[in-house]
This record gives sequence, structure tokens and C-alpha cells, in this order.
Amino acid sequence: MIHLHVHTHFSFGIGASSPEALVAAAVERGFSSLACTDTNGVYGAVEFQRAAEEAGIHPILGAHLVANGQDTLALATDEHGWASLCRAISAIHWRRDLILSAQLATDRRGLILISQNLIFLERVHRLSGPEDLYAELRPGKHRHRVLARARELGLPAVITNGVIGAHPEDWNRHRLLRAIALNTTLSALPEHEIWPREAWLRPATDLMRLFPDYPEGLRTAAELAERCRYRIPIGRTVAPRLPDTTDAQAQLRTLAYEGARQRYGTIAPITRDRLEHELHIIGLKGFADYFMVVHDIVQHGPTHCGRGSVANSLVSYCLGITHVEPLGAGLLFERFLNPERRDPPDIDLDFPWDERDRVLAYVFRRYPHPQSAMVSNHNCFRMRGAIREVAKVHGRPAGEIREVTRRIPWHGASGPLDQLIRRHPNFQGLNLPEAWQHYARLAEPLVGTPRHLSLHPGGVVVVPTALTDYVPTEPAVKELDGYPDLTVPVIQFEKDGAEDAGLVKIDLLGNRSLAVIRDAIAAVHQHTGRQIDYTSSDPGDDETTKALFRTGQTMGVFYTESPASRQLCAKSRADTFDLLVLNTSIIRPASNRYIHDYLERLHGAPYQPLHPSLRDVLSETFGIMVYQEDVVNVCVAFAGMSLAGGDGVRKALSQKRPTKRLAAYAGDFFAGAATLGRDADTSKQVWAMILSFSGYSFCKGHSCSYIQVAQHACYLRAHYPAEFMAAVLANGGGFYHPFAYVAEAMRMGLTVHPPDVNASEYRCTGRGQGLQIGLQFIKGLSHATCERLLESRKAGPFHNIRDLRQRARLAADDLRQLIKIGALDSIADGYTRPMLLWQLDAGGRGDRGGQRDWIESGAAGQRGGRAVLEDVPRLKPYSEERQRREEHAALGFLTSSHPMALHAETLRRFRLCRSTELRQHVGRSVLVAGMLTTAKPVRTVKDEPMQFATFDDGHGLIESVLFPDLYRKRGHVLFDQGPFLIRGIVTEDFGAISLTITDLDRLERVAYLDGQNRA
Amino acid sequence: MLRSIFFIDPPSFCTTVEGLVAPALRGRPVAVAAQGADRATLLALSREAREAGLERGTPVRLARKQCPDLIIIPPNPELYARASRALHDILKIYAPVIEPLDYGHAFLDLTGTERLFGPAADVAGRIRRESRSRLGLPLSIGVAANKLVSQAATAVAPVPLLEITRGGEAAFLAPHPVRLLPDVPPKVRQRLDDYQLDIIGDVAALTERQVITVLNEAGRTLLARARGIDMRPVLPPEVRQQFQAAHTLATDTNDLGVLHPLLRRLSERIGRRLRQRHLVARRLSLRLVYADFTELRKNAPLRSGNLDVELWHAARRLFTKANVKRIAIRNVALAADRLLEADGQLDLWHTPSETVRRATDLQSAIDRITTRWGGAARQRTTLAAQ
Repeated sequence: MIHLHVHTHFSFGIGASSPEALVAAAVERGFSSLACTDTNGVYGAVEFQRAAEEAGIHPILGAHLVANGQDTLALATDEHGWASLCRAISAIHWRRDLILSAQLATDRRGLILISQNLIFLERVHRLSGPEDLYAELRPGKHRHRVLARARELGLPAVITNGVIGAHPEDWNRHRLLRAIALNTTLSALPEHEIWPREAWLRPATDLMRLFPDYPEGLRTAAELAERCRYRIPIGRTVAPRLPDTTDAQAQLRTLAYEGARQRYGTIAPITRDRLEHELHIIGLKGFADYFMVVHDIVQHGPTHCGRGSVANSLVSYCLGITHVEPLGAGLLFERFLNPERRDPPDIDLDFPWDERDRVLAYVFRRYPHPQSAMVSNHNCFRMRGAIREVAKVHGRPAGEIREVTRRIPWHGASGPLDQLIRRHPNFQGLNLPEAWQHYARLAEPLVGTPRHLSLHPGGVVVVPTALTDYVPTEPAVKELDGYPDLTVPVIQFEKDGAEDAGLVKIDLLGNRSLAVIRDAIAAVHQHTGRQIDYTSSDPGDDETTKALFRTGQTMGVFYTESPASRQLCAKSRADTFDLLVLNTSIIRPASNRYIHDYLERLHGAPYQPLHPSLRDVLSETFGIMVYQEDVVNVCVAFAGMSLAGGDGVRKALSQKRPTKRLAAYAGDFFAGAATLGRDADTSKQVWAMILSFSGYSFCKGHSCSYIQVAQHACYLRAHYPAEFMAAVLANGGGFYHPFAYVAEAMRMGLTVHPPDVNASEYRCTGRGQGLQIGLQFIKGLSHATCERLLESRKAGPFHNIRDLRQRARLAADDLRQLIKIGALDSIADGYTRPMLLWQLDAGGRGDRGGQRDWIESGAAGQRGGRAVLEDVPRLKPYSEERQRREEHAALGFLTSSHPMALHAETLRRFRLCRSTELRQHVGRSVLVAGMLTTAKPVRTVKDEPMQFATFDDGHGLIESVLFPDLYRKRGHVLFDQGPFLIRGIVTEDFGAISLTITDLDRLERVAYLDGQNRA
Repeated sequence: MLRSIFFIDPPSFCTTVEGLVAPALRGRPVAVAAQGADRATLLALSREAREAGLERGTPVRLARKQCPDLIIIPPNPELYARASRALHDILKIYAPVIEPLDYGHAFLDLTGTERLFGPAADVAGRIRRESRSRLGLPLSIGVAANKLVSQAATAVAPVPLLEITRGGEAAFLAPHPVRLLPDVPPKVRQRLDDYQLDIIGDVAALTERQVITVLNEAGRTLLARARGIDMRPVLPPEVRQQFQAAHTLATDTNDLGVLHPLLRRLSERIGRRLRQRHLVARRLSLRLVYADFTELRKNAPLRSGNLDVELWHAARRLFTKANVKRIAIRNVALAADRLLEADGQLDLWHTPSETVRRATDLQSAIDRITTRWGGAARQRTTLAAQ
């Protein structure tokens, strides 16, 4: 007996068990084969096949197809069957009115169809005969009718159990998932939406007992299982191809040499050798077409940055795909492509975030579906989502749920969820009802269960024929910005699945900083006439730029602006390309303990690498492993592993759940090290350093590409600060909140001008020493309104409020907002803001059908309108404090002063140390106050939670750290911008100042309690 | 007619009363709050608790932190009601009309009692003494010509007794913040804040036309209030109920031939009662209960506010708006509220037009006939005759 109808958790909202759990249960119950038939999808086929092969049972690939009242199981017997299956699934997703029987009757070569749907059986039987058509008998009354009809039609019948879970207890989770999927509560979940309690992977004997009347149904199932031999071929590559090329290799060679001449002028022998070598390998592996496709995209796209391992290739440099010269940067081609590597290489391209969709649209038009599609992401429940949904199906109010979920850390939390809720510092003082413990326990097993399909941030696959021969596609919900009529296709496999199935992925990603650079360069051109060429200029030697890097003044500068990066830059005084690449690569979640060694050695401390064999490998990185390449090289040099083996370790480390595969590699590593006679302790230390690469880490090519972008950005910041900061704000900032960038702009000596109806554009603009805030930051003002205002301003500046309202046809509430923040002050005509508001209200409301509106009707004179307008009482102007309050409420930051100015009164009551004076107090305890700029929770070596936090006191930034003890006690206080009052001890490390916090609280709370005590 | 209105404000009533039964509480920070509830807030507090920085609505947990020696007692509604009754017994000696407001607090209308009890200030003094001596309860009393000013007098003055003399209302209110004015809708408050009009005097200085152009009808009321004009009557709750009239039909029906006459009877009943008390209503509301027990409510503003014709027209309009279901109607209820004294009307608004005056005259003629000869004496012709 074989289970032919099995849903894994990739049947979203139905299946309760992972493929691994089902396979394990099948092994335990003695099944030799197991099918995977998810609802209208093969999302988990690759995972399932892997799990089954590892466990030594025979995987049967298929799907449960459901469409418009008909349903059937479809199992693939061979390649043709798989392609038919993929086409059928695609058809179901693309065509709402699909009639399943019609689709499958005409296209079912290599498929076995098993259905309990009588209409489906009859129609398919009539249209395409009885071959490979079976009736499905599931436990329950319905089976008698199915069997009777099957006998009439002369069809054999098969027994299944419609499995939705591995074990009986999984049924509860199934109910939970159903309630979540249907957006209802557990108590209101309709009976017919739930699968039977018995729908688990029952042992064969159970089913035999249930079907005493039809034993041949079990035999048939076993026979069918034998016939389903199809497996997804792993390791084959289906490379994309340019539509109208014949000899890609020759074309590539021509283009590469053309590019090389442009890049280098004359081509040196060493360059020529490298180029020939690369072209040879590319030809050998058959990737010339792939390069041509990427080259074609880059040609038709805007400013871009090729990154990742592709930066290691000279060919891609010559083709203009990347912009870092690989020979000079010491980037090895083998890291990108080598004869031993079996998986296809990845090419990642960054485009300005607001132009990325245009590039995607180009690809989808050039390679129409089903030739191209995006790669999917299987969105899984994470802790926040799981507990939110569980609480929701139990009917908890949204507000309460939010209070809980926002306290759950995104990263770095470990241990069971109910413990987290009970113990984590964030939950201090929340006094949760006991029921949450229960929800947490229910939510725990949901974590990691996929809930729906979404898009990979930028992965696109292109094949020469049709994708639907390899994998089903679906229409995605996403619309491309500016292309409303283009439906984005998405394949059902995730990144890893696509790679296993041999589909080559091109990553087309959005990047804010490229837009920042683009905008700043455009503004510079407009203001000064100077044209900076992004692709060819080299800002690396510019002294002003270097000085900014060296001192860590890189807020707004891509890739180097996080507090960790800035501090490391300051400590290492890094300003050269090589050092910056090294700096940004060494910052990884688990590398803290190596950073200190790195700094000491950089500043001249003598050192020994962990083992003499590593001296050469790690010579340029002071004996410390920094790049992904180092993992491979160390595995080879220290443990004598093969290049492929080393690469395997690297890949395993970058995966989400690496434990199993990593354990195998660890065995190889230690065995290899022992063979070479390495001492056991050293081996352990080296392995520990390798493990510090788990989670995320960088290959050198990636950091090189990004540092190049960063140098451009920093150059602009150094020489055109207004244009640069305006572009940063206009593109939605980066690492920090806009208020932090505005504060930084003020520290840079720029004058920040508040929004003004005559001076502001939609986006922020900068020129000379002035930064003009754009209308984009005014809360509640729609984009369309701003467009209308700017459009009507083309006829000339506005003269007064009436002129503005008449020409721009603004709604009263929009105008009110503009008046309140002072955007009309320049055309106020001597009226105060309250008087302008009065005029606005006296003029009637444009949004109320215009009946009372003197503007729409043009009846200003008739109703005594003008008289009404001029009869405005004298109303006093807003106080400075009120102006600030209005500005802060509407923009989220202040243009006239720092947000801390709002609290000046309170701050005067404390003896505070300024951020600029901290250096004089090293080793002493000081009191400071500031707004929270950014906070980053991390875990210590002992796996205790702690936090880094950056504050802004109006004079500068204060970097600080909350060690576990204090974080446990006071960490929950840091939940918004503050301001906060902080006591801490000033420390200095390699010249960088930091505060070790000993106590902190909200400023207003301290002030209040202080007031109490005085009274 | 010049009115004489008192506002009686026993400071910290609940905690003071608690102090009367448990002397140990006197002079200590005391607050009333529900016990055992997780999110309980302070419902009432003593003067000492207020001085410690606490307010009504402060969560108990926070209050305990801010004021560690705070004594929290559970609410004792029966005690407060008993104390209120005792206080009212004293008030009743002097005031023909009492409108209770919250525990202990009340408006008194002493209009026309001067001959009997002497000047208003003396009466107020007597009430205070009696309350203190007989009940041990200190009182603040505001004396003025209307509710607004008398209540404001207790709110702003540090003295326990303040009389605002006639004509001095506007001057008295002028320096105080606008939040002292009652019944200002939140939207209007927001606007006043936008205009920086936060002192009553600034509002009072505006012309009526100015206020109306930006705030419409709400502006008219606001301006009157800012100038110390307030015609709201002092009415005991049982009188307020008289301006509501309801009827449950013997058989559920949709027949306008039944429903319209019923509506007419109800509106006339309300009109008669309003006129008897010299009141006008600024709003009429209608509630329909359908046969399936669903309800629909509609309301409309009234202009003159007590003429049968107007009430009837308004009621019929409301009925047409509310009668939208295809289900028979079971119960019809009419209510008039936002009551004002009718006397002040002519001073405040423009002089009535000829039609209004004639309608008023007609109404008084009909009323006289009805009073003299009974309801059957007048017969209705068709509505078209009007």
C-alpha cells in the first residue's frame, strides 16, 4: 500500500507537516514510496524529492489539481508527464474559467489521473478514453458512489487517504491553518472547510481494514507507484539565450575586446591572458549566451552596479556589467566560474530603486511569458506572524496583538516562543494575560510553515523555450510601477529550487543609493554644468573624500553608514579602497571577537596566524578570515579539502538552516586536518572562525562593487553636500530616520529650508549651502495634490492664498496643512498663519461640492465674498514653540532647529554632558540626553541579548552599548525616538568614543518624577 | 425675565463624603477606584491627592508610583447617593427647581424667590452654612444669571462663593480660557486652537458675521456663550422627559393614513408642553421601531422651536427620511431637546419676520381655544389649507 494523495505544508493553509516530517513518518511506518501532491502546486517538490532520496524511499511527484468544481490527482510518470503537469497547474493559475477536464483531456501524456470527482471522470473518459484514468476512493460514504460509477465506466479504482498531516495530532494545526487561511476564528470555522481527523499518514493495515470490500484498490496504488519514475534532474543547467543570436561565443569575444579597448586603451598581455582564459571557461561551460543576455539588459537599463561574484570577472568588467577592475583589486575569476563548479553562476545587478521596474518590464517584453518569470519566495511564518495569526483566530483585539508582536525581535531571538514572551527584556512590565502563553505554544510549530507565495526581491529566470516545461508559473500580485497592463509571472520554485532545477537566475535589484548618486549627479550638472561620469570616474584618490571615510563621517553614504561601519572606519582610520573593502566585509553577526584582533594588527601589533599553513591564504587580511573566499581557501590549505568541498562549506554556511549539511562537512574538515597532522586544538579554533561566517557574509567581489558605489557617494557628500543630502532625503533615506539625516545636514553646515509652496519641489532639493525640504515629507498631502500644485506653478509663482487655491485647486484640508507648517509664509501678505487659516475657512470648503465656495463659483464679489475675506480679525502669530510643534507633527523633524530644542525647557534642569565633550570624560560617568537614532539588538558570545544604540543630542551622535544586564532591565524603554536621558561611562577604543550605559529612562518621565520630588 | 441661577459644587464630593464616615481619611491623599481590575483608573480624588499631581483618569498603577501613600478606596455609590439626597433636601428648602448633575452637584433656579428669601448672595451663604453645619459638607457656589456663568464662577474662583452681577458676565468670562465654555464641539475647539483664539475675551470681541463665516451656526452659539449669554433652562430630569412622546401601535402598519395623524398628535403634545413652560427646542429627534425590532433614528434642527406647525413639518420630514424599510412600523417616538428659555429669544436673534409673528399669533389663538374649550373644540381641515 502506498499513499498517493499527500499534502505537505506547501499546500498553503491546508497541509500541516513539512515534506521532511512526512518522509520520516513514512519511513517509520514502513512505506517504500510516498507521493507529494500539493494543491495546484509543486512548490515543495524539490525539498520533498531531496528528503525522500536521503531517507531512501521512492518519491512520487504530482499535484492535487482543483479548479471550478473539478478536482483530480495528477502524478508524473516521466518528463512528458512533468511538463504536462506544469502546464496544467499554470493554466489553473492563469485562467480563472479553466475547465479541468478539458485541459487534461487534451494534454495528459505521461500523467496518471486519479479523481473522485464524477463529472471529471466522465468527461475525461469521454474525451480521451480510459487510459491512465483512475477513480479515487477515500474513506467516507462518498466512495460507494465513486466506485459504482467507476465500475460503470470500466475504470479501475485506487485507495488513498487524502493526507494533510504526518501524525494524528497534526490535525489541530491543520485547523489552525485553515482558520488563518480563511481569515476567521477557530470557533467560527465551518465544518466543511476542515479535512477529516483521520487524514494523516495512516499505516497500511489501517486502510486495509477500512476497505475490506475492495482490496484491489490498494494493489493498484502500489502498481501506480511503481510507474511514477519521474524525478527532477538536479545539476542540469538551462541557460538563457538572446532571441536573435547565432554564435554567442564569437559575439561575446568581439564585445569583450571592444570593451577592453575602451576600458584600458591598450590591452596589456596579462589582461589579454586573463580575458582569453575567461572566454575559454565561459565557452566550455556554455555561458556565452548568459553573458549576452545580461549585457543586453545592462545596455537597455539605467545606471547600474553589477555586484557579487560576477565582479570577479574581467569579461563582465569589459562588457560594462561591473565597474571594478578585477585584476587591480585582486579578484579571482575562479570564485565566479570554474570547471569544477556544478551550479550555475549568479549575476546580480543593482538598479536605482525607482527604475528597477522599468528594467523588469524590459525583460518581460523581450522574453515574453512563458520564456521568463520571476523567482518566488515561499513566505513562511516567522515568530511575529505566527503569534499574530494564532491570537487573531482566537479573537484577540488588534491593539493587544500589536503590543505583543512589536516586542518580538526580528533577529537574534532564540529559544521557545513562550519562554521568550515570559523572559525577554522587551516584555518587561507588559503584564500579558495567561492565554498568551498558550498562543505562544500553538504558534511555535507554525514558525517555518510556508503561508503564501511572494516574489523574490529581484530574481528573474529566462529560458530559450518555455518555463512551463520545467516548473509551473503563476501571475503575481505585484504590478510593475508604470506598467499596469503587464502581469508579472512568477515560478513556483524558490531560489534554491530553481537552482536545483537548473534554471539560471539573474538578480535585478532595486538600490536606493544608485538613485541618490544619479539624482545628485544630475543636480550638480544642473547647478554647475559639471558632468560627473559615474561609470568611469574614480573618486578613490580624492583627499576630501578620504578624510570623511577616515573619520567615520559617512552618514548617508551607502554601505558604510551604519554605526558599526562608521565606528570601525574611525577606529581603523581606513580611507583606501582595499581597507574599506576589508572593513565592510569583516562586520558580520558573529565576527565581533575578530574585529578587535584585526584593529590591533592593523595598528601594528605583531601576530601569528592560527597555523603557518594559513599565512599565505590570509596574508592581506592580517591572518583573519574576512571574505567568503577565505572559507574555501582555508578549507583547502588547512584541511586539504577539495575546492568543491570548500565551496560546499561556504554554501552550507550561507543557508538558512545549515546544521545538517554542515555537520557532514565538519566531519570532512576535521578528518582532513587530522590527516595533515594538524593539532586538534588549532583545528577547533580554525573551524570556529569558519563558523563565524554563518548567517550572512560577503565575497570580496561584492564588497568591492559596493565600496566603489560608496566612494562615489562619499565624493558627492564631500564636494556637493547640499545636492547629496537632498538626494538622500528625496530617495527615502537609508539606514536612519529622516530626522537623523536632517540633523546631520545641519551639522554639515547646511541651512535647511522648510517646505514652501513657491520654493519646494516634490522631492528635496539642494543647492550651494541650502537644503530645501520637498513637499514629499508633509504628512497627509497626497502625491496627486503635490503634482497639481507643481503643475499649476509652471505658469509662475503664487502670489497669495487665493491665487494658490484658485490655480492649484487644493482641498481645504491640504491647504490647512500647508498653512500650519508655514509653507505659505512667503506669500502671506502680512497675514499670520491663524489669519490665513481664518481666510481659508471663510472661503468655504472646496471639497464640499463648491456651493459655498467663492473660488469655484467665481462669485467672490456677489456674496460679499471679498468683503468677507478682508474682514479678518487680527489673530496673533504662532509662537516659535508652536511653530516647531506643527512642523514636527507634519514632517517628523524640525528644519529650524534640532528636535531636542522642543525639550530645551526640561533639559535645562539637568547637568548634561554634550556629545562633543564626551572625549574629555573618558572613564567617567556622565549624564547625556538624546533622541534614539537607531538601535541594533545583538547577542553576545554567551547568546545573551544586548543592544547597540545611537543617540543624537542635537550637537552630535552618541554611540552606546547596553550590556545584557542593563538591557534586560531597561531595554524595553527604547521603543521610539524618545528623547531619553542616559547615564553611562565613557569609553575609548582605538580613538572612537562610546558610552556604556548604566541607566536610562524617558526624559519626560525623569523630569516628571524629578518635579514630584522637588514639590 | 432676569433669572437667578446657582451652581452648587461640593469640592471633591466623593472623597469628602468618605471622610465624613471615616474620619481617618481626612486630610490624606485619597482616591476612589475600582479594586482588583487590571486597568482601573482613578474615578475621584481628594484635594490632597490632586495636589500630589494626580488627576481623574490616571491609571491606578501609575498613581501608586507617583504618590506612594495614596489611599485607594472602592466606589460606594449608595453612600454618595445618600449624601446627595441629604444635600438636595437642604437645597429644596430654597429652590423651586433643581437640576442635579453628577453626585452632589446641581443647578438651582431661584428666579423670583427674592421676596421670599432675600438677595441671591444671602441665600447662597445660608445654603453653604446649613450644608456645613448639618452635613459637614463644604460647598462652592456660583451665582449668576445663567448656567454657563454660574458654573464658570465655581470653576475659576478660589473663593467658595462668587456672584457675577447682571451685565458683568462678559467681563467676568473674558480673561479665562475658552475650554471653560461648555458644549463646544471638538471640531470647533480645534478651529479655535488653529486661530490661536484661546481666551474667551478674544472670541467675544469678534463680530457675529466674522464668526459665522468661519464656523457657521456653531459660531452663533459659541459667540453667545463667549459673551456670557446662555438660555439653557434649569430643568429637573422628570421635566425633560415631558418633551418626549412615544406611541406603540396596536397593529404594526405602514399606512400613512394612520402614521401621519399619529405623528401630528405626538408633535402637538410636545409643542404644547414646550409652550407651557416657555421653552424652545433647538432639535427634534424621531425614532421608529419596526416590526422586526430594528430601530432607526433621525434628527433635525428647529428654528423657532415650539410652534406646532414647525414641529409637525419637521416630524414629517424626519419620518420620510426614517421610513425606508419595507417593514411595518411598530412604535413611533418623538423627542425635543437642546432646550432654551423662550424669553431670551427675541433679544438674541433678529426681529422676527411678519410670517413668523403671524404664525406665533395663530398658535396662541389656537392654544387659547384649546385651553378654554378642550381639544375637541378645534377640528382639523386638510393639510393643504395651510
